[in-house]
Amino acid sequence: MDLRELESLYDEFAPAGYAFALQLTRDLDAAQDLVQSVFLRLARRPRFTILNPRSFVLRCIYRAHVDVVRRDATRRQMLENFAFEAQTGFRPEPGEDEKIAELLEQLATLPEEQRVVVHLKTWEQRTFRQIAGILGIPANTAASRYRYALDKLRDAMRLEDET
Amino acid sequence: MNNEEIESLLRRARPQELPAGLKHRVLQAARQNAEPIAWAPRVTWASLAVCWSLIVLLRATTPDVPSGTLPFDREAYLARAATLKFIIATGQFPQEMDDSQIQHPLQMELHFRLPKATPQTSQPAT
Repeated sequence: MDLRELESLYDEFAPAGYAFALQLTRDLDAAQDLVQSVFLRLARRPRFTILNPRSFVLRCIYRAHVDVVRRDATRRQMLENFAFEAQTGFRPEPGEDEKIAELLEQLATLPEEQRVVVHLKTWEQRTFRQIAGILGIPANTAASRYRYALDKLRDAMRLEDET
Repeated sequence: MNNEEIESLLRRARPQELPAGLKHRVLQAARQNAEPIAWAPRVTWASLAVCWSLIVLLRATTPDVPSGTLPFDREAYLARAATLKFIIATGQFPQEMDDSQIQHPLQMELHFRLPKATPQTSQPAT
């Protein structure tokens, strides 16, 4: 792939990839490293045709993240420890409902497997079948993880309302 | 608050912006990776030259052997065959052989099957 192709691929898909990487890692530097490594890997590939490039980039980012975490157990622990000061892939608009910020904070405390499904379903508008393809899990598992995540978020928001 | 409300609230959030320097970093790294390594061709030519010299050296030091033939002494081979035949037929070693020339029949059979390249000194049986 030549540099011009890489640049257009980056312009089109890097924002979604970065938000997803941030959702996975919850750390700005780790997310940037992940995006860079994925686009460099794409640059080394010869010219190719992808049916669904957005899903492809997301899948590459997820796999690269899994590789990094598998290689480095201490890194995983470090990323887990970021739970309460974590970055999320999304932010509330200024002047928006405060509940959005609270929801995003709660989302950041969910386990990675649930956070990722919520991200792909809510912001990437992927079907459970597509999510299953990206994460390499059965579609039913993706659906149940999404349901658990929403249940947890709902309970957490109810507690917030009560206090 | 139900699940639909949670979903609609989440959808109103905006994605984090890409860091400004990341694109430059990615393209710079891709450009560096794409450039051929300067010393690679020199290494290729050097290894080719070394391989060629080795081939020439090997050809120069290997004695000429006509293709399809084995370099072995035909006379010694026939002598061993005859000795073996004698031992099998009579169950004795030939009278002309002294102790140093006596070999186990199995050993001789091996010699018979795999003749050595160097000429043998054993004497043929009469």
